[in-house]
Amino acid sequence: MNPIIEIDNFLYRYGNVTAVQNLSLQVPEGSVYAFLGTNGAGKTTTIKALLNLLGPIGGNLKVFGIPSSQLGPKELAQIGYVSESQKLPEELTVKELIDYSRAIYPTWDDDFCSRLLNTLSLPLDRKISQFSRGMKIKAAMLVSLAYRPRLLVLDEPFSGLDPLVRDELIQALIALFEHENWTMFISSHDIDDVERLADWVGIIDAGRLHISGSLDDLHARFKRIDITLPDGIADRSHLPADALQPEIMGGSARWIDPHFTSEADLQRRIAERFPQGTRVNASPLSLRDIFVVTTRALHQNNTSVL
Amino acid sequence: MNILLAHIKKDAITVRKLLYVWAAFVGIDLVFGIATHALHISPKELSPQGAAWFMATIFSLLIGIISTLLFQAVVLMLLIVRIIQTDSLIDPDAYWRTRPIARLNLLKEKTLFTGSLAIASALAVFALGVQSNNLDPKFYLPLFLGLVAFAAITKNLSNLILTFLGFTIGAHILSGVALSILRYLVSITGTTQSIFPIHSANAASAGAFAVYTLGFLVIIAHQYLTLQTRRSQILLGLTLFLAAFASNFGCRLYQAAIRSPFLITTQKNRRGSGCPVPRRFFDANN
Repeated sequence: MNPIIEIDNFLYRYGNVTAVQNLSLQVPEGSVYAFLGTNGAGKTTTIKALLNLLGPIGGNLKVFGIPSSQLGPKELAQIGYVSESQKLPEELTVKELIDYSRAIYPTWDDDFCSRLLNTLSLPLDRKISQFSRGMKIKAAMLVSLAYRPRLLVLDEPFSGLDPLVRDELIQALIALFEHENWTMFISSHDIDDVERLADWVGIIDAGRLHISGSLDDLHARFKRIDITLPDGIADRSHLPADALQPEIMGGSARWIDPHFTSEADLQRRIAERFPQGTRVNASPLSLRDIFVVTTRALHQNNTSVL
Repeated sequence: MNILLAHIKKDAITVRKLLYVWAAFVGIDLVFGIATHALHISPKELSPQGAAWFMATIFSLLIGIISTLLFQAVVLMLLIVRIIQTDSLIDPDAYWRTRPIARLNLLKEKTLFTGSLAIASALAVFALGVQSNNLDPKFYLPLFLGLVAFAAITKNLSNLILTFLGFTIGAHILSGVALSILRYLVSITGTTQSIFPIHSANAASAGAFAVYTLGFLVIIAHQYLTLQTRRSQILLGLTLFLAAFASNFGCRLYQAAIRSPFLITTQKNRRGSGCPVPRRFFDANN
């Protein structure tokens, strides 16, 4: 499948501070790529460079196979962009914003716009400056979707929104992506929300992309392991070296295995350490747990998670 | 064309309140224009009471016209700045930056909109019948272009004012330093007349006008087409420096030459510019 976004060895500095380095990733067409990281990890910088809002200091960034620095009106007409920091023309009402957007987007779809208006429950005659943050994001979403973009880039779209608005937006996006073969690149630290949308995930921390792959692969790789031993466990040295967040409670122990391959392999590895026999259970982790475990390990300079 | 009109409509909505105030001033200009034409009565035809009333009316009208012109100029300047800065060229979060809007089209739209407002204002003032021997109409072009250039490289009005003050003061200080060096060189070599022809005060003024006009045009085009604000700022600094240098060149060089015992005396020239002139020129023309 053709990648819609290609980033190769991206480097960006703010003065002497390196914001992003050696970042490489690809986003396949039709996928929803969740770009996850803590505040200041480099997500927004990467997105801004991708859309030519910042010039990269090093590396190559391409959208639709075209270098970001050469993105013109033709390419931008196929990209929808919603960001928490984006400044909408606030003196316009929703209707005026729609009229303006209709003039600048050749593929503007009025029927689709009407459906989106209903879904997002936006009043046509109110000025955007009178909207709450959530309503502004909805308005931005409306004018970034109604021309059916090939690529939707969302930078922290749910940040600071109340759970109800967040849920409404996610439901709307899920409903849309069921019917449209769009690609979405979404940055967020609201992991639970993003998990409902994403099928690809990248985890960035301190300007470096540490994990990038399909959500299914991540779910298959990261497991919570629970074991119960009849004789009890003496100490942590019995546990695998790459065990993350280990907890020992009497006769049982649990940890997170970042390199789970199969039940059989796990049974074999456990049997090597506890020949007296034990009961083993491997359960999947949520994306949030995977993110927390990975980021925490990286902050402790533990690279065994990678 | 549709896109240009859509942009203009969007900008007009964004600045609508200021636009209403500006339109009101234009309307007042027209009313004053009609009133001044209606008052073309010879005072000889009036009785003493009528003449007093006539003078009071003329005085009130004059105050009204001056206030209107002043406020209209301020509103027009605010309007132009707001139109330019509503689609900021230095803020990556500006809405237009991620929309299919060609930079050239944006430049065309802003030129069309702000230019139309400036021309309409000028026509309204013309309708007033205001004439001044001291104000050359060509003075307005660099003023307009300068305002657009400053607005294009700044984020908001306060930022614009600070940038204007900083750049203008800086350019004048630097040009002063450069002129002082030149003055010193001229005074020790005694070459004033050979490098500085008699009528160069006018030439310097025309030079400053040309530098301002061309410089601001280049800055506006450069900023809109490349979004390289740092380079635009350097161009702006250079423009202001060269223009300050050019406009002060004649006067300063004459003043410099005063210190040269060979050439100059302190006299005002005939044109009343206040610049001292070379003794030979003064003698030859008197």
